[in-house]
Amino acid sequence: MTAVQTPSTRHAPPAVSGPAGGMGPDAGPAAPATGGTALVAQGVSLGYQGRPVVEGLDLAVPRGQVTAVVGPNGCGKSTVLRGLARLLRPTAGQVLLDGRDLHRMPTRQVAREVGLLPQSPVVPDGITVAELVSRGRHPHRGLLRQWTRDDDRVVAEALAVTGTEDLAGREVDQLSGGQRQRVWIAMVLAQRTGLLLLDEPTSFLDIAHQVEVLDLVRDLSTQQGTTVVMVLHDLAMAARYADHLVAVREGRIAAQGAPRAVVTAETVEQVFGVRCRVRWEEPDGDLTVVPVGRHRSTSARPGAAARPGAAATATTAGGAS
Amino acid sequence: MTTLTGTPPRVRWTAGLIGLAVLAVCAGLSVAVGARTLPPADVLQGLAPLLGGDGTGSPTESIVRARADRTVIGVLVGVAVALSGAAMQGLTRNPLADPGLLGVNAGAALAIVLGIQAGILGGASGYVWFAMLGGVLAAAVVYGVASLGPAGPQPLTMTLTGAALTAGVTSVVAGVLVTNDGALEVFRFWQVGSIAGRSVELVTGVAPVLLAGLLIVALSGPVLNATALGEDLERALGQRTLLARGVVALGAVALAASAVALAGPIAFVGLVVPHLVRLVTGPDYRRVLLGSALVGPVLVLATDVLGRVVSPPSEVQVGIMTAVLGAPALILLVRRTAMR
Repeated sequence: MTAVQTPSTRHAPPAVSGPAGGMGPDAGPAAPATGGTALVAQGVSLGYQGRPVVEGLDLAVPRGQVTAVVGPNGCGKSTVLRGLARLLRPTAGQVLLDGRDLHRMPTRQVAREVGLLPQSPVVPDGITVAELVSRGRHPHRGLLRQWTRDDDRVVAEALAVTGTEDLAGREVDQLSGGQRQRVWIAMVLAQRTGLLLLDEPTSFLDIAHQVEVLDLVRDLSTQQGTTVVMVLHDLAMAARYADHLVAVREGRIAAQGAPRAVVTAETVEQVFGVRCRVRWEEPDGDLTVVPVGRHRSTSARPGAAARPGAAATATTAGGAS
Repeated sequence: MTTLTGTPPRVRWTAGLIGLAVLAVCAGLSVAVGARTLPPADVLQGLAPLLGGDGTGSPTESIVRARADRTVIGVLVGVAVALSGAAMQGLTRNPLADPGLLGVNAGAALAIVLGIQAGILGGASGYVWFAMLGGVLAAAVVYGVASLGPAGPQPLTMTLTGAALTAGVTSVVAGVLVTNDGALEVFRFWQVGSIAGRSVELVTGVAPVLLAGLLIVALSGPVLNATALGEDLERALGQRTLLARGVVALGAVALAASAVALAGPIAFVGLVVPHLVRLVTGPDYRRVLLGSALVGPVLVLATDVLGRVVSPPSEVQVGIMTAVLGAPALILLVRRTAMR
């Protein structure tokens, strides 16, 4: 089986070789003070109904950058995100948003500063794209406050940034997976928060749509200075699109830092439990991760080139960094 | 810049005006039509004392007066049931929710049957209080039981608890009725739901609860819009879910209990009306609520008038008529949605 090649994208890739904190010149004018950390978890433990899932989490989310949380299924990476999003109250430790305890802030205030896209949000029957996006204005509206021109402007901008203006009148049910995900991101953007938390924004999407969504995330970071934390399960995609990687294993952080520092044969084996070959191609920063598995590569086996399944190669394409 | 959301404003205004006009026509018919045919002039004359003019004390006058009372009650019940149904559907994200969902109707029925059994039910005004009390208590029990779970009252737990309580209570009601012929005789007329023979004075008693419910539910559009996006997003959008849902549920129960107190359980209106309204308004709850408040009374009055003329000289109660007309309407709706 041949390599799975991530198609080239319309972006320059993130600076994979630099240390965390190196996004300087690209941060847009809308960015709040760049550099430093937007969100910090200190000794956070999280769980459901007394069953601990995440323990002693120490995490710093660099401001204005894209952070990807990766790990195997069931490792607690979505739980981490729920803790950062205030959906789960920590049983120990605290989450600080710009130095304030997230769980002591008023719900509405948090919603004005932190946007969350859950894994499977509900699409109300027959809702149009514009209508859905306008619901992102909820935290900015009072009981009796009418819809204003300003709200209209913010919604229009969210549609424009995500390239969904042309879909404004369409029903969300009838869109493709990639379009739908961009519309959801537009809704979170209409919330006007400097921090976006995305839970598996690319799950159930084919590769073209994954790229479509992740390109958008990159745009938001470089053009608007938005801080993004996203959970991804595709390691190669995460390394390709994130500035900062957090690898989670069994509820604990196994490694965090720049993709190049995190994605090594040792950490991949430690986190995912799979032996593999990791190759960072010089000079452009392409990453190749080849799981080894129990079988020899099919191409190395005489006459078996077309047989699938023995070894898959995941590659991220990169450009100049 | 044109508005980005939903149906164009002109369409909405037109729909609203048509709704108001239809409601006015229905109210007019409800006063004018009945088992006893009255010429329009007599009807107008009969209305005079109600509008502050001098009455003549004629029998025509009392007939018109009774019909006017019935119309007022029909409008209130229609508004209450439809709004309550819309709010319950929004709260539970369950398109099949109706005002009886949280056990309100079952609780009201049980209270009335027990009242009859104990012989302490005094006339129509007694029904009102027993029904109200029973309905509110049942909803409180459902809400309380549903809150026992680790995550607080969730839509699914509320729906299931409501269904369980309804089943349990209904069997108790049936048990009492089987052993008590007298109670059955009285109860079966209450059970079908009717707005006939109630005087407007009853409304005064129910008014505080009804008004509180109206106020809460009328303002609950934004809350329900956020709820519609799912639990996680609702909270991420800054909604304090338990508080917001609790208050709206209280409003919906107040409306449902007022309606069941005034007219008995009116079937299908609370279920069908929000769906009919959504065909025009789309899923925005601010508009669904407004539309339901218009279409609910139209449906109740129209079916009530139909029930008066369908088998003269007797009348068919509105609770039966709404079910007869509501069931096909629901089936049509389901087919339409399935084919889209």
